[in-house]
Amino acid sequence: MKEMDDDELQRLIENSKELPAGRTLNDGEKAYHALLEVLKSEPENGLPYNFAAKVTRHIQAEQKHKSEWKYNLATAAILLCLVVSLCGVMAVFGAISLATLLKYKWLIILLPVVFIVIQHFDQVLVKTRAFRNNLNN
Amino acid sequence: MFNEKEVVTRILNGDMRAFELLVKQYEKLVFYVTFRMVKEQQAAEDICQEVFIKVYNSLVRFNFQSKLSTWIARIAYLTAINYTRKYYREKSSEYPDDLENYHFTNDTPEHLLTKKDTANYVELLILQLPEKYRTVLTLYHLNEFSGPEIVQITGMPEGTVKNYLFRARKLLKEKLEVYLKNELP
Repeated sequence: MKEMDDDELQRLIENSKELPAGRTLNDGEKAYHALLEVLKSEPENGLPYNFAAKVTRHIQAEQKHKSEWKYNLATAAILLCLVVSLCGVMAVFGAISLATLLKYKWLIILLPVVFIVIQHFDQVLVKTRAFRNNLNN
Repeated sequence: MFNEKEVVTRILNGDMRAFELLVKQYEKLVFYVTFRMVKEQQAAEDICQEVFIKVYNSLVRFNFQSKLSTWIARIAYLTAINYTRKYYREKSSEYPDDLENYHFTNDTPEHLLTKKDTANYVELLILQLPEKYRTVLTLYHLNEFSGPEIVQITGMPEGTVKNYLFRARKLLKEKLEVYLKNELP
């Protein structure tokens, strides 16, 4: 029987992904046959069994982190607005002079900044550690 | 049965259990592609995580013009390519044009003796192939993507995909032929 060349053998693989059964195979065909078996078998390496859960938890933590940041920024903005409004009202009704307000302007701005910094360190130092511990368990 | 449209809709509505289902469905696909490209278990795991985070963040832009598996495989392929470029500095221009004369590094008789079986031997050979050959072989045989799907995933022309497949299989077959001759009584 005429031997098939690589081109013909691979075309057979392309069409049926199997080599013809019931015929005596030469060395090259046997090698192709063995190769096909190996190529379609799954490698021994794989991902840990809880990979999907880990990824999901990671995304949930990221989402939570993002929403907490949005919440903190919104709170800081509201705080700043409240303080500015309060100062404005006090200035309008003469309880405090504009010069005094200007004197303490950095303190007023510092208030929401301090709030955000505290929240940030809380997330970085406390919550991240807690999340990592949770992931490892 | 895994209904990709339903699962994607549920994920977009904030259902994280649906996302976990999606990860379970495609984790093998992503792992095989990335592992064959980076050849390191831990690096492959990290890339897989990055891939699924990208999938989650980009899912809103998936418009069902291709299969979900093809879309995810493309993200995995591009992420793994970026990783190899960043850490291995392996460039496509370094690949030999003449793959028939490609030399495997650990093909010594001593090494052959230590091989447990044909599967391990072939896996070792595959991991020594140039990156693009490994990828095309994996996508076609292990992940069972068709030629046009591999074109979509890798961005290579169809002729190149077929050529890589042919040459990689021929080379592996030649190596395996010698191995089987030495191995079989």
